[in-house]
Amino acid sequence: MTEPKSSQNSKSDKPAWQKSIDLPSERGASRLVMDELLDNLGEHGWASADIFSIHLAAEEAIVNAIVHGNKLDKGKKVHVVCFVSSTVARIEITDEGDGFDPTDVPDCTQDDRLEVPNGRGVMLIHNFMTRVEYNEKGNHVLMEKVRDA
Amino acid sequence: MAQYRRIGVTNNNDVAIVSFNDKKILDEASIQELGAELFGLVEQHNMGDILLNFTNVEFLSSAALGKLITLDRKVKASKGRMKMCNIRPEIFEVFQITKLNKVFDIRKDEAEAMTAFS
Repeated sequence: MTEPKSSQNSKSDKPAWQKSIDLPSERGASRLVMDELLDNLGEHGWASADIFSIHLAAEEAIVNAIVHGNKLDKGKKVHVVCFVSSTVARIEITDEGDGFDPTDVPDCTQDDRLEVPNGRGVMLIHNFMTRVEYNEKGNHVLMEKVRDA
Repeated sequence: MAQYRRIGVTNNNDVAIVSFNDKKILDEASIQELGAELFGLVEQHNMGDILLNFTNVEFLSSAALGKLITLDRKVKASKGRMKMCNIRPEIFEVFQITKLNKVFDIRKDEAEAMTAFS
């Protein structure tokens, strides 16, 4: 039997983790993937502040897909694809709803909206991730965080 | 004193000091329950001054932010004061990004917050 080659930098040796899962459109369904995602970020050496950011972005995007995209319709699924390596974390989320225009979301930091209790999820996602892209319909989001060197 | 599931409440010089039982405030049902318990402090127990101590909180979602905003409005409407303390850096960043650090009175720790109330 061949021993795995040892390395000074164990981070880069860890194979990337990928998972693809369909979540039901019900509140709390994000937990079906979240714990595993967070565990894998930790195992790939991500810092706790980055794990917090990715956790928040993923949670907000999945809740948006379930509640605003699929409107809690039990007949619809939210498709989630995760990829985690020691340098990149990528999450793609697709719902079966009509989509939305991310440029239409009002700016929650304007003085007259500061005290409105909702509408902060999309802004947090953009601030915490390196790259955020929506498809034209607006029912698919790709979020990527690149680890700082 | 009422029975709470999501928060712990102690009274110090007429300031209700609130701690959170959940490390992660993200589950929708828990957030609804948390909101009801927090609003009850103002609406049922007529607490004027409230200090939210976030020592135990590692994560909170935007839905939880919504409850804090509504609580702040209720406290202000009843002429009370609300302050927050012991917020970890990651959560403070959430407040900064959303500019809620301008809305909320955020203090370093309980001692500093209590001095500000007096």
